[in-house]
Amino acid sequence: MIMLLDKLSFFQRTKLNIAKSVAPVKTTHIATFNVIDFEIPRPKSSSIIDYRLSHPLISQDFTFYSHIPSFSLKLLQQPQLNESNELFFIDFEQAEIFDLTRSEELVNSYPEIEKINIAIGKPLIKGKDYNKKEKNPEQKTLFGDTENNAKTKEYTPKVGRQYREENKFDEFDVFDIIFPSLQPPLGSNFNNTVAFPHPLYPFQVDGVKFLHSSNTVLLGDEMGLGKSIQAITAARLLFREGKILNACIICPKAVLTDWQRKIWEWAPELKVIKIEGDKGQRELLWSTKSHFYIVTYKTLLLDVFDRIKTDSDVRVHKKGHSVTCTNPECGQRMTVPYALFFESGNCPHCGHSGYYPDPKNIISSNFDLLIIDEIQNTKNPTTKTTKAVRSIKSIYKWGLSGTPLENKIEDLITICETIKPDIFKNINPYRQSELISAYKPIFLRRKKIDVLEDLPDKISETIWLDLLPSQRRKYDLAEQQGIIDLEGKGEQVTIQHVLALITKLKQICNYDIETSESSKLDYLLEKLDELTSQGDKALVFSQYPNETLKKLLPQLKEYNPNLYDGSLSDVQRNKIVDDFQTTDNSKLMLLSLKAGNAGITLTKANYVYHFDLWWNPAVMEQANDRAHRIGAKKEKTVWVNYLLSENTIERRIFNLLESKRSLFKNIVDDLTETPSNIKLTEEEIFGLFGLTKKKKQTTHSNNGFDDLDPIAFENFIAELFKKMGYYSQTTKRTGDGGIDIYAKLQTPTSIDEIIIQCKHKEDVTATVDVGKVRELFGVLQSNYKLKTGYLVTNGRFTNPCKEFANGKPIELIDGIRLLGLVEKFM
Amino acid sequence: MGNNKFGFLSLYETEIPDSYIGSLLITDEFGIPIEFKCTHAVKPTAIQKALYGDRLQPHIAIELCGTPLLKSISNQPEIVIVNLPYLLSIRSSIEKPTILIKRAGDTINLESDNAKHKEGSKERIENESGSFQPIVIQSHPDFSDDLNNIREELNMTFNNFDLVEPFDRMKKSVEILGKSDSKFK
Repeated sequence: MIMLLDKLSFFQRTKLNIAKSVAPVKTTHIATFNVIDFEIPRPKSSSIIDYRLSHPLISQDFTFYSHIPSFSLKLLQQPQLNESNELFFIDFEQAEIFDLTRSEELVNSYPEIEKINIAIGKPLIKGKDYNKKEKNPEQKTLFGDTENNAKTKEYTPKVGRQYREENKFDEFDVFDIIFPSLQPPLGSNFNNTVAFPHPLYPFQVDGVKFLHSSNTVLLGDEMGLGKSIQAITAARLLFREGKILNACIICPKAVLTDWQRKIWEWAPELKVIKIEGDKGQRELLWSTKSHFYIVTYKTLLLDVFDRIKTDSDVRVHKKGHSVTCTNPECGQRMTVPYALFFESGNCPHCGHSGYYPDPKNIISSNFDLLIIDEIQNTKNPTTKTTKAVRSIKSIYKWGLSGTPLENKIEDLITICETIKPDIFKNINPYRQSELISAYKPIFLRRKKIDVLEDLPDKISETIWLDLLPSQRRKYDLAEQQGIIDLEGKGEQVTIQHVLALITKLKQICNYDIETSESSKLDYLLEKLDELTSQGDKALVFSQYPNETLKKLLPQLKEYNPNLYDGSLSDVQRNKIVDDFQTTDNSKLMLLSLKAGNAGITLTKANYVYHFDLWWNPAVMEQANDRAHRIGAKKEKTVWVNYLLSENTIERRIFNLLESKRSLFKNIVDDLTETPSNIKLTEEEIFGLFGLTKKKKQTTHSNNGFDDLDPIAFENFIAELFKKMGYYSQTTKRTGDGGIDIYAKLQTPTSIDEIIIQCKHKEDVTATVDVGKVRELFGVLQSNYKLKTGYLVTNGRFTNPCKEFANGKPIELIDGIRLLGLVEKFM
Repeated sequence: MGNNKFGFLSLYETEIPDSYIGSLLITDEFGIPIEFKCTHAVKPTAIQKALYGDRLQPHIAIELCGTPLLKSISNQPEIVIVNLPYLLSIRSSIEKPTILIKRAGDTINLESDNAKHKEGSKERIENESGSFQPIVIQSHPDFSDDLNNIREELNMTFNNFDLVEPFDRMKKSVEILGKSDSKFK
């Protein structure tokens, strides 16, 4: 093998190793060089230039085979003087010092060269198996991942991998960052459910395109038109196109979790981190790689503004940021326009050029996309909030606000400056037409009335919220204690005990009486501010008028709310309804779900908020219909929001009902409407707390009924029904109207009221005739609340008796069936 | 069909001249990414460029990047799809059907890339819905049966997603990687 090299240079103390990096083959027998350069030390001025070069060392495996070739100096034509007027014969800077002589001898000497190759080094391979951490989509436990399971079948777009709460701290590297870019293009068909989780309304598609097409946008759609999902979808497009790698969302605390859930739903392939916790936790979260970071205005103040202020002595005023020159010799203060913040600039005092303030002091102050929710919070340029938001640098800046900004031009100006600092540069602020023409290209606002045709009559949404800290502590304590109590009851525990605990926990989720904390109230206040400013009204429903609604009342007083519950007289009810329907006085009505779910018209309301879920969704639908007039000509859309607390009993019940609905839908028929009255069994309700319903051994002898007298028999039957989960009560001995026992059963979907007539027989072969059944049926018909009548005997029923009861809400329990019930429940 | 995996293999030149990154994207039959691997940038020296001549890019694409990438992945593809003519030669060293893919109308001529080699079987595939421009696929001349073996598969898959488009995704992703880490520049 012959290696041909053009030129080889040797310098002082330089070892040339050509073995590994140069040659393409392992063994080279001949190397030829056209030119070899050697460096020689600078001679003293008086020395005679007469060099004898030592044998050059190439490598251990590669040396000159023959004797050292001789070289001749190439002297300059004319001697030169250096700075010290010393005479030099060689210009070391420019001259070609040596010519290779006797090259023929070198080539012919066939030097031994071994282990030489010039292979290009193999590169390292990096990457990621995106399937590796995928969760098993099958439901492992009764409550595990039921929501996700249901959504996988119905909504989730195909993206290969999704981010959720459970994997938010998984290792996340640059190959996860590029994961969206590796996805197929989303395309322009926004109804494609493979790419998008839900179809977008036409006006929302316009909004997404508007956001996507501009670096700075102010989206001012009225509340309920889906500003956040438009922003998420537009951001998702940018992520997919590789135009952005990270985004930060600044929002009020009340909607922090809602944003996270919306991203999970609308952009499942994008990772999202909520910035929360103490300082150390937040620093860790900021430094964790993610696509989305969500931070509240308050946290932003702590992490950005205060840091800037501390580290860089920044003051913010109307003209911009006042900073100290970074030149220690100058130290003068100067004003940096907002537009130049974090850009380089020159100090007007000393001319020093630098960044103001030093970017290295700022935590994550630079993003590719910044979404500022409720951007009207920055309308005052002198507040800390505005200063903090304006200090963040981003390629894309989108502001969202449902507040009718166009009514207050001065607010609109400052808000626009938050996302585009120089937007009104060279604009006369007193000329409205100039101002409008300046902000119009970045501003998009649609009102509900503008897009009414696109919208359905009713839009329902479940809003998941985190409990506030004290609320969470109270809830956890109550749940833990409740479970201990239930377990302590052993075999005596009934479904009523479990339902009582559920009620207690749901009330804490609504409002913590001790601390007055309520994440649902915070959310409501945030939304009320917006919806009332656009002239809308709202209804708030809860099944707990005393424990929830009355507690909310004083905190909502600025909206002049009325409470509609069962304690009101008819006159008071009518007055409240009239007030809400006909005047602008009351913008909000709080209604007990039971008292206000039927019989009244509250069509002035556009928004309905449910603070808790009733077991039977049909009851809630009835409540929603107070605002939504069925069958009438469409004049408006009603937004129904179910406010629920994450990681609580509300989530577990919701998941369970959802999975049952999903199961029903999948098993029966995709086109069949899912029934609204899906019930939970007792076992499932016990299972909500990880409990199992304990069955008892029979304690009563099978043949003991005939020994009882009629009163003891009634008491025994009342006790039996208690064991069956009923609240039961025997009636007076006389004037009972043919009824021996009243009983109520609270089922997951309703309260069943029943009546029981007992007929004790000394002889178990004796029969009960049809007259007793007719009597019972008469009582049932006289009271519409009564669901079922039970006729219980330890004897038997005649055939006419059975025929009469057939098809009527009457249950006949004879001696044999009674023994079975006793065996099961006693 | 179902659960089939496709491997999209290519070589990209980074923003730095004569710097190459090999990349391999494994997708399912809907184009959803399953696995992505790429190499650090390969930067041949001037002397290497001169010594390898025209063989430089094929050598980097196949020996240094393509073959190691295919060996390194966890999700082995049923079909390997390449977009550079010289990458077809990887077929000789792997036991998987390999095809060269181009948009119909784009230049696809092995002769121009390597005149000494004979040309493999070539075929045009249309998207039934008309959503994507037709494509032309070509097998390695020594493995003409590849086209027969995977024709039906590709026809069906081309109705799900555009088989040329994943190369754009990889290019975009490699560019992003280059911005994040100098080793990918």
